[in-house]
Parts: sequence; structure tokens; C-alpha cells
Amino acid sequence: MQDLEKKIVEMESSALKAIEEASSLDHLEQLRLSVLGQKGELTGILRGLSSLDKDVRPRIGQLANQVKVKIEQAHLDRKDRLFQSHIEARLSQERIDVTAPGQTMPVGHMHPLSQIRQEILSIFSSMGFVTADGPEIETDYYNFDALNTPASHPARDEQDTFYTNIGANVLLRSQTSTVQIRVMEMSKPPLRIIAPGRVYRNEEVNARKYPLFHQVEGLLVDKDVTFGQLKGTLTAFIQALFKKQVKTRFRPDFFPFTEPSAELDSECPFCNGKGCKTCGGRGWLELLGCGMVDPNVLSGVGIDPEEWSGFAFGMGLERLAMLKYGVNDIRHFYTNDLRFLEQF
Amino acid sequence: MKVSLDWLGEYVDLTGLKPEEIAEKLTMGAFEVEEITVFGVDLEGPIVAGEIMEIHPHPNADKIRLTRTRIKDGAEPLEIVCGAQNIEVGQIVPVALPGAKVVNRHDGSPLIIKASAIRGVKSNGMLCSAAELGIVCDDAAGEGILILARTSDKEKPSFALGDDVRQILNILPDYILHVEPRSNRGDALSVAGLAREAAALFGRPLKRPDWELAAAEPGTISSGITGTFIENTEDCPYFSLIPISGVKIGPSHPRIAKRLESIGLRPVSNVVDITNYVMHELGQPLHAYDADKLKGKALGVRRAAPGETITTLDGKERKLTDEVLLIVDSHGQSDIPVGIAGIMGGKDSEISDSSTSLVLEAACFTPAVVRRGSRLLGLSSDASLRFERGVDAASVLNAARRAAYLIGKYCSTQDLKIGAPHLAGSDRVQEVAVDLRLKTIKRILDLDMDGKRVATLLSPLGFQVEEAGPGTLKVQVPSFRQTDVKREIDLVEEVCRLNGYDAIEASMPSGTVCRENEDDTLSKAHSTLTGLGLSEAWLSSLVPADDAGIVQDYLVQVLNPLSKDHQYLRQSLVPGLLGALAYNLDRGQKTVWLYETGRVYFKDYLKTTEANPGKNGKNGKTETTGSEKPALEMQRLAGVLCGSGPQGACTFQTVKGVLECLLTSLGLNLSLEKVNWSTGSQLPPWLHPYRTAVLSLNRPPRKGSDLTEAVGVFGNPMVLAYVGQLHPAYGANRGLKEEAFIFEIDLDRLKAERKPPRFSELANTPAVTRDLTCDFPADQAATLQHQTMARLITKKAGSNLKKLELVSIYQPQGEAGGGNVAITYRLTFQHVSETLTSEQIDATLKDVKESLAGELKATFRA
Repeated sequence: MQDLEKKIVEMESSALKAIEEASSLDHLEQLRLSVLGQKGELTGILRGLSSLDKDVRPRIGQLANQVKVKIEQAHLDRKDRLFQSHIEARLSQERIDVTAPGQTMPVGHMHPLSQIRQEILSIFSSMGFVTADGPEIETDYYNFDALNTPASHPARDEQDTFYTNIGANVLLRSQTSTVQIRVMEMSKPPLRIIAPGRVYRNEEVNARKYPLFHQVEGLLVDKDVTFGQLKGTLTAFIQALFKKQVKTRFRPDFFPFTEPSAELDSECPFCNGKGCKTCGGRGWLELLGCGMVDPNVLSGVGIDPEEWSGFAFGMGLERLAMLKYGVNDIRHFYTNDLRFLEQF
Repeated sequence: MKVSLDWLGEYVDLTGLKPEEIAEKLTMGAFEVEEITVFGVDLEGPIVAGEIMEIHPHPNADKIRLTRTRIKDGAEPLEIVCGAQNIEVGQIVPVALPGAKVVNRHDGSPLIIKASAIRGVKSNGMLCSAAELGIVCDDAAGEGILILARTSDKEKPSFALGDDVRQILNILPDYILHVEPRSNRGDALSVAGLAREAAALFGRPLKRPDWELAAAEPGTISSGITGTFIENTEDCPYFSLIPISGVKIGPSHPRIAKRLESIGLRPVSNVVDITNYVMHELGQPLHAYDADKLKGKALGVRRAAPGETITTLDGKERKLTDEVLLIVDSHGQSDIPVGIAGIMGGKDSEISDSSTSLVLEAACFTPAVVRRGSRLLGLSSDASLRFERGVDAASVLNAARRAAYLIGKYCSTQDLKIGAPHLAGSDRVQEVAVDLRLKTIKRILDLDMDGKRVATLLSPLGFQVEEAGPGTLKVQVPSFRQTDVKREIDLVEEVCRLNGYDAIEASMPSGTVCRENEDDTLSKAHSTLTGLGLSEAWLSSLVPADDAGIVQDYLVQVLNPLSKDHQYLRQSLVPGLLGALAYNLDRGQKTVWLYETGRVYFKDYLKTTEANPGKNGKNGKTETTGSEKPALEMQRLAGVLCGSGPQGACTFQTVKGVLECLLTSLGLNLSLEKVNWSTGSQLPPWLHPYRTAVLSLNRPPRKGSDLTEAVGVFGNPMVLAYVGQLHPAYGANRGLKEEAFIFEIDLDRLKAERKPPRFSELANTPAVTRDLTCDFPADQAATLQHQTMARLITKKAGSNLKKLELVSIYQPQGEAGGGNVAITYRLTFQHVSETLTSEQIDATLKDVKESLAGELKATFRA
């Protein structure tokens, strides 16, 4: 039995040596199979234990098991180390120039007018205003008469209106205030609507004017709506739009369909009211027109002005976008030069 | 309108108020001041009277000397260098101190004074000449320092050392406010009108300037005009003429000329200037005729006859219609037009240098008539502006007599005579009283006010306020405010304005409104399309005829277009997008992917709905959508792609992929049971006939929205979208040589088809994929469509088929394949709860193959 013991001890030392010297994971695996595998040397010995004498079996068995554990341990250690160096070798082979630029991904840009429109709508939406809509091709009733602007009213001349071949009284709306009427005809108060839309005026094209532009109209009708609520709502809006605690002022103005009417100015957010190029040195920016809905407008759509009151406001998208982004020519918005669009 | 503060100060006490303060107050009181300009010399800063105490030679120069000048009695004199030769000790002269702005006598530019060294000696200011103070003088004395006084004078000067030289010389500049009264405030288009507002806003007293009205001398003028008439008092409620004789035409009095110059008017001659002066002062336009050039006995007001002509003061012959109101010179049977009422006088009766007798006209014309005439003739004037906004009939004669007085004072010869006025119509203005409830003030403005407070606010503007019952006031509206104050709300506005908009506390509305039917299609479409690399364009909906669209009969045309480029309303977004594409390619862009969401427009929609009556609206009229719209407007989404995408050159498949991706992201089911792709017919001209696919849904639009059919945009109400390649000929006409790809979607239909997402159970069983390759003879393959095969496979494979992918279409070149085409599909099978067996799948595939073989003559490899 001495031979067997000797063989086991020799196997141990040669296996441990070979494992230590194994140069690759594949080589190591071959070694493991040759010793510990199904047909491995040590496995063969362990399998042959049953044929040994009872008196040597425990000793030989114990020895063989100890050797097996040792070899297994050595194999695992070596495997870990080999794996480590293998990974390191692979990683270093995979070295790349990380400063090289990334792959160009297609990126589209939303039009700046869309972006500011979405921003405005989301601010009013958070205040419970619902988006509304109306036709751009309108009758003079919706564009003027229903808005307390009869044919003899001087305000009619202030907006040069486009007329169409549909009929003598069919025009391209010059203001989104038409939507106020359309909505109030269809639904009963309380109402809170915000209506973005395209409007048309017959004006020569220049850096400030284009024959079509966009407005956002708002209307709130409820019981006991006051001028103070108009001030509060629009002040909150302006601060949300400029994301700044800008000072605002409500300045008396005249619109046929609101009374009292006001122009909302904000302290110029670019110079904090000191006067700059954007505000023309005035320190104030004219932002939007607003006012309490004229009782004639309410009664015209069958809403009792003694029971209900409301406020309305309207703003120009282009004007706000030009202010917010510093765009100097309104025509950029309709030229759709990618070099322009990609700035937003 | 420009208003001189100096002039305004004659009507309201503005003492101690800075121009900026006045502008701010007026702005916040509904009279926006857009600009303040200076009239006269713009001197700034400390310019004071100083006494020359000593004069020494300059140590480093011969022509200049060093003075010691004190600017206060007993004060330490300042060292000031001076180059003028006329200075002497004991002179009191203007001294501009550091910070002052004077005039550079060489070129008239502004000169800012600084304490600085002149040839090595510090000078603490400048002694000023007349020219440096902006005073024009021709004589040589102007060259030297202006001597205000001398200590040796017997009479002590009326000022002290250190006093402001501008005060001493009365050369204070005037400030001109550029103010825009709103269109409802015709009453404030004058110095007196604005003064009334300023008085109320500042709580200052109105001043009655020192002027008189001319008294008539009855019977003294016998010749010339002896009467007047009005054809219709609805056009002209009141008309007055004052004859004046013994006039001498010449230049205006400097005071009047300066006032007119200050507000940007060029003085013409004394009489004309006075009519202008009074118009700007009182807001009442006036016109003076040369009495000797009038042929008849009466001047009157009547409508023009169609085709009648008159040559106006500007020398232009105007052709008239019966909407224009005329002033005519009548002699019994016939008359001659001598002016367009309220707008401009006639050339033939114009005042000239040799005129000696005048007829001065002052009237009240109906605003709408003047406005109409002015628009028709394309002619407006300071007078028409005021008549359009309404003048106060009650003040007409007053203004005429004011002018007559001034003419008498400044344009008379010794035998000046002012005749009795000839009047027609009535200057009586009906009294208007409006009830104002304090609770309305509370309800609209949330202000608690009593009658006394309201009276305090309103009375300075001429309103008379009295209690009319508990909580109600009766407010008498002055004649000059009757155009804009007629109702309770008008008074609420006045109260709000006079009390100050700032005085109203901001608050937030209470209550909530349900946000029903909010649609997010657009914002989702924006994120998908920008994510795919398309940028958004906004295009004009006013287009030239070439870009207008497809269905000529339905074109909406603008009757008064700005130009031919803005003459029609578009029927498709595509031509505009192609324009934007060409624009960008021209500027060197290689890849242009653009989209737009916007409206398209069709006329004659009403005709269509009348032919197909919908439900009855509230007026008993036919309505389709609840409120009548004059035209059909539909929302579209369109895109154009040109150049390479992330996967190489853009092809038809790229743009179709974009469309499919967009529609899928919006929750549309594009499975072939729900939709159909076809090559389409009646395509718009910009589409390649063999590279266009029209996407139809398998059911028509919901009832009430069958407008697509009415218009037939795509020739088929089922159509949702189309996608295709740009027709090369259409592109070439627009300078587009590159291949471009297009899609356009009916956004209204898309919105209607969208459904909110619903969860379906996730399968835990394995999915099995099988590839199926079908061989077709070449002639068969030529007409074969994916859609046909996919429908057949889907139908036969049943509900366990989860996915069907077209893997490849392979046509071996040359003899090898024998002209056959091999099409490979990948089928993915899965059941939500059962694991499918090989046998089940094999059986299904067998069915599929049999069907493909039977119906499409496909063969399969072993």
C-alpha cells in the first residue's frame, strides 16, 4: 500500500505544480479533467477505494480526499488568477480613443413658436384652463359684431382685415377673440378656456410684421370674477413664463370687447427695468392685452352679465417668442431655415 | 399726438412736476406716453450766474486767460479758464459747471463740461457765450461771453449769483409728450382735453387761460355768404360759419408759430396757423375759406353725387361717391363743391396771401360718415382723425369764436369786422344720465366705495354725481364724453382708472372647471417626430396660386391680398414644405427632414352641408357641427425627407417607416386587418405614381365628421394618410433635383381613431420562431404584394401568430436561380398560457404553405 500512498503524494505535488504553471484557462481545465474529471487519476483512485483492504481503506481514503480538496482549492485559486489576467489582457486590448466624437444621432427640433405655445398652454392648463379652438375663416359677426365692435366702430379700422371669395362678410379672423364667442355659444359658464390660433392682418411684411401671426386667447367666466383675479392670474402667468419674480403693471387701455381693459407690462426681465435694447430703454415690456369681459359680449351670447362676470386676455406668440429668445426678425419664424430651427 | 407741456401748463397747473412724472401719470391713466422729446435747446445740469472776480494771464498760453469766478455771494471763487476777449472783472456771466450739457458753438453738438486741465491749468467749468446756450444771435457780440449784468450797474439785477441761467434768460426747453389717446377717447385729442385728464389724475386745478371769444358785429358784413344749410342732420348735426373781413394775411405771430413748431407742424400763414392752433388746443377742426373765391350766397353740407369730383388742398383731383360728404358753395339752383366735409378743404377756395375776407367753418360731422369717406378716398388728416373719434357739438361755436378772436388779434387790418355766425342744425346735446350701483363697483372691481368717493373721482372730468337711491348713483355725462360713456360699466371703468389700476389687489379665481376631452395627439406627435430626427416648420397658410392645392372649386381666395404670394388659402401642407426644403438645400444643407402640423381650407362647405342636412341648430338653421363655420378647415400633419438618415440614403422605406412609427406611437393599430395600403388614384401632382402608398382605414369616419368625403381630398373618405416619393417633374418645376419623400396625414381623422391604451396579459410561455421561404417564378413575383402574402399568412396562422416579419426578398442573378424569387418571412408563435408544441406549429405552417401554394403558386424547398 505504500506504493499507492506514494503515488497519491506524488500526484499531489505534480498536480499542484502543474496547476501553478498552467498558462491558460483551457490548459487549467485540461489539468482539472486529468486529475479530478470523470476519468481523472484521483477520481480513479477514489473510485478504487472499495476494492482496498478494510484496514488501509480509511487511511488511503482520507489521504486521497485531503489531496482532492487541496488540488481543488489550488485549481480555483489558479482559475481566479488566470481569469483576472485574462480579463485584464482583454480589456487592455479593447482600449479605444474615448475622446473621439460620438455617433451622430438624428435630432429634430420643435419650432420655437410651438415650444412657447406649449409652455403657455401648460401654465394655463395647470390653472385649470381647457384648450379651445375656432375657425380661422370667420364671419364679421364673430370677428367684430359679437365682440362689441359694430360696423361704425373706429376699432374696426385699426385692423386691416382680409376678405374672402366665400362671401362679403367672410374674412380671415384678425384676432383669436372670436373663439371666446364660439365657446360661449356652445357651453355655459363656468368657463376657463385658452385658445391658441393663427390670425391674419393685411400688413406689409417687415422685421416686425407678417400678414399672419399667432395669438393665444384666454377667457374665464364665473360668478364674482373680479379685476383683481385678472391681475392675479396674469401675474402668476408672467412669472411662470419668465421663471422670474418680475414686476408687472396693469395699464389702462381700450378694447371694444373688454371693460375695464388693460395692457399688461412686465418690468423688462433682461435689464431688470433699467432700460436696454430689448425694452427700447423703457424698462417695461408690453406683453398682452386683457380686461373684464364687456357685458354686451356676455349678453350677446345669452349669458346674463348681472349673474356672471369674466375676464379675457390675448397675447401674441411671435412677440413673446421674440422677447424670450431674442429673435430680431419675425420672418425667421416662417422661413424655416434649419440653422434657425436647430437653435431651439 | 404730440402735446407741448408748456402749452398743457396753460390749462392745468403742472408746477413742480417733472416731464417724466407727468408722462407716467398719463400713461397709467389710459393716455400712454410713448416718448418724451425736448423742443428747444437741450441744456442740462448746473448752468448758473457767476461773477468774474479776477482775471489773470494764463501761464502757458497767450490767447486764453485764467479767471476766478464766484457762483455764490461770499463763496470761494472757482478757477475757470476762458478764451473770450470780452471778459472783465465785475461782469456777471453764465457759468456751466462740471456735469452741465451745453452746445458746442462750432458745430451745434452737445458739449459736456468736465473739470479738466487746459494747457496745464485746471479749469472748473466754462463761461458761456450766447451760442453755447443755444441762443441764436447774428451779431459779433454773439462771439463773446454773454454778459448778464455788471456789478457796476445802477439797477440791481433781478437774480442772485448761483441762479439758474435758463430761468434768468427764459430759455427753458419745452418737453413734448408723444401720447396716443385710445380710439374711444376723441375728447382727449387736444391740449384742453388732455389737461382735463391731467387735472383729474393729479388732483390739480384746471386753469382757464387768459383768452377771449370774439364778439360778432351784427350786420357789419353785408356781402358774401349770407346763409348755410344741412341736407341731412344725420350726417352733420351742426354747422357754423363766421364771416370775417379786413384780414391781412402774413406770417404768424412768433408765439403761435413756436407752439405749432413744437408739436411738429410747419407754420404756413397767420390764418391757417390759427385754425390749426385752435384745433390742437381745443380739439375742434376748423377751416377758413377765402370769401372772395366763393361764388354763391350759402355754404352747406350735402352728400356727393356719384362721379362728382373735387380738387383738394393737396392739389389732387378726387373722384367721389355718394358715401362722401361735401361742403358746397351754393347759389340757388346749383352749387360747387368747396371741401370734403371733415377731411380736407378744396383748392379753389384756399386762403392766399392776398385774401382779405374769410368764412370760418366749424362743424360737427358724424364720425361714421367721415371715417367711411376717409377710407374710400384713402385720405386722412388731423381734422378727419378728430371727426372720426367724435367732436362735441356743444363746443363747436366756442372754438370758432376763439379762432375768430385770435384772427382779430393777430391778422387784422384797421377795419377788421367779425360777422354774426350763420348756423344750421343744433348744438344741443341731449343729457345723458347713467345709473351706477355701488355693488357693481364691488362686484367687478372688489372695491368698497361710497358715493362721495365716486363723486370725488368723477367730478373733475365733468361728470355730475348725485345719490339716486340706496347704493345707486345718478351720473350726468358731460357732452364731450357721451361717445364713450353710455353704460354703467363705462363708469366702472372710469372709477377703476381714476382710482388707479394699481390700487386693486391681485387675487386668484376660485372654483374649478373640468378639463374634458383634452387631446394630446399633437404633443405626442411632436416628440415622436423630433425623436426620429424631423424638425418642425411653420409655414404660411396664405400661398400663391401654384401652391394652393388640388381642388380648384374649393379654393378659398383672399379678395384683397397683400401680394400674389398670399392670395389663396392652402389645401395641403406639402407644397409649402417642399418650398422650405428647396430653401434649405439652396443654403447647403444635405439632409433636410421637416414636418408641419397645420390647417388646410376648403370653401363651399356650407353648400355641401345644405345638401346633406344634419341636425337642426338652435336657430332652426342647418348645422353640422353645432356652430356654423363659413368654410371647412382640417388639421393636417405632413413631412418631407431628403438626404440621408441614420441608416444611409433616404428611400421610400425610410419615409414609410417614419409614418408607421408615428402612427404606432400614437396608438394606432396598423395591422392589416385594420388598414389597407394601396397605390391610390387621383393623387396630388407632387406624388410619384408608382412610389406612393395610400393608407386607408377599414371603416368610414364617424357620423358627423364625414367632411372628408364632402371634399374628396384624397378621393376617398377612408383615407387616413399617404406616403410617397416626390414626382420628379413636380420637383424640377420647383428647382428640386434631389429625391425627396413625402407624407401627409389627416390629423382630425387620426385624433378620432386614437384609443387610450389597454393592458393585455404578458405571456410566460416560450415564443417559437420559424422562417418560411417561398419561391415564386419571376412573372408571378412581379405583381406580388407583401400585403397579399401577409394577409394570407396571418389568416392561416391564426391567433398564435404574434409577429410576422419580412426578412428578405432574394432574386438570384443570372441562370442560377432560374429567374425565381425567394421571399422569406419570420413567424413568431406564442400562446399566452400554453406552451406550443412542435407538432402544433408544424401543422399550422403546413396550412400556411398549402394556402400560399394554392392561391399564389408559391413553392417551398424541402
